[in-house]
Amino acid sequence: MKIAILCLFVGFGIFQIYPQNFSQSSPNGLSGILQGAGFIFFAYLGFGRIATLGEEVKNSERNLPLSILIALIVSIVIYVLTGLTATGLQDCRILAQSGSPLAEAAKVMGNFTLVAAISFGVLIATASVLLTNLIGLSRVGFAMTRNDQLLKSIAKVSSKFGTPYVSILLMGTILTILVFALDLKQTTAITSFAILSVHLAVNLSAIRLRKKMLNSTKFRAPFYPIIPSLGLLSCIILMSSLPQESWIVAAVVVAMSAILYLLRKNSPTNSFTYTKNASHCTTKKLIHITHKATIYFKRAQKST
Amino acid sequence: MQQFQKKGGAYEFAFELISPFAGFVVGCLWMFAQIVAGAAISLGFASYFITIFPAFSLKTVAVVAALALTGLNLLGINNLLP
Repeated sequence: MKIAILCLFVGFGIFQIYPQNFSQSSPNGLSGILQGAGFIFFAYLGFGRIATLGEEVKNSERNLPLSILIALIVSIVIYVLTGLTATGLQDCRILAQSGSPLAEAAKVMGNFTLVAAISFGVLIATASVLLTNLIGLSRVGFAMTRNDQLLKSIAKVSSKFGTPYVSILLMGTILTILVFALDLKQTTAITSFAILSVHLAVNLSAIRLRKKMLNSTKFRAPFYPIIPSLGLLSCIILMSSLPQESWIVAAVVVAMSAILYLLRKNSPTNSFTYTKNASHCTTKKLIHITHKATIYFKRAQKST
Repeated sequence: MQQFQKKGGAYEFAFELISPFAGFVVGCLWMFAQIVAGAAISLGFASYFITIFPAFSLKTVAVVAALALTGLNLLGINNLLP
C-alpha cells in the first residue's frame, strides 16, 4: 500500500520533471549533502528490527542477512526515485520549507486527485508506523528489566488490559510534550543523532567482541578492524553534520541516565546487581549469528 | 523471560561487551530516540493531514495523534482487533 502510493507518485511524476530544477547539483555544498545524509538516517531506523526475528525465520543464518540486504536495496531504489521525482518537480528550497513535501511536489502536476491520494497514502503509512513504534521500545525495556537495570514497577502490567500501563503512560507523556514543544526538523535531527550515538556503541561493541574472541577459531571478522572503524567514522561524520541542538539534547539524556545509574548503584536499599549469567546465552548466540553472517558475506563476495 | 533473551539489540551488545553502565546509557538513549521518532512521525502525519483538511492546526492534529497512540496502546492493540 505504502509502496503503491510511492510508485504512483514516481510513475506520474517522473515524466513531468523540470530539468532546470537539477541545474545546481549541490546548492548547499558538501555540508548540505552531509546534513541531508544525517537527517535521512531517520529513514533507516527500522532495519535493526529484522535482525531480532532470528528465531522466527526459516534457515535464519542464511535468510536473515539476505533479507536485510534485499530490503536495503529495494528501499534505496524507492527512496532515490522518490527523492529524484520530488526534487525534479518542485524547487528544493520550497520542498525544504514544507512539512509535506510529497504533496507539495504533487501539486506541481496540477492533478488534485493525485495530491489527495498521495496525502492519504502517507497518512495511512505514518499511522501504521506510529502504531508499531512502541514494539521496539518495549523490547529494550524488557531486556533492561531482565538485567535489573530498570525498576520492575515501570514494567507493571495492567490486570484489566494486559498492557504495561506505567511505561505507556510515561512514554505518552514524554511523547506529547515533545510533539508540543518541537517541530518536525528538530525531532528528526534528535532521533537521527541519538540513533547514531547508539550505533557508535554498537561499532565499539563489535571491536570489543573481536578482542574477546581473539583465541577463538570460530569467530572471524573480515577486514578487522576496518569495518567497525569505518562505522565509527561515518557515525561521527554524520553526527557532526546535524544541528547543535540535537547534540545538546542527546548529551542531556546521556548525562541524566548516567546520574540515574550512579544514584541507583550507590543507594543502599536496592538489589542492583548485574546478572551477567542470565544473559550469558545472549553472547553465545550473538557470536554464533555473527559467525554465520561472516560466512555468508564471504560467500557473497566470492560469487560476485 | 526466555523469549526476550536476545531481543535487546544494541542495548544487549553494549551491556555485554562494553560495560553494564554503557548498556544502561545506550538503552536509555535508544528508548529516548524511539519516543522522539514517535513525535517526528506524529508531526509528519499532521503535516499531511492538514494538506487534506486545512481547517485543522498542525500542533492540534499532532498532539491528538500522540494522545490517540498512547490511548490505543493502553487499551492494547491486540484487544481491539477482533
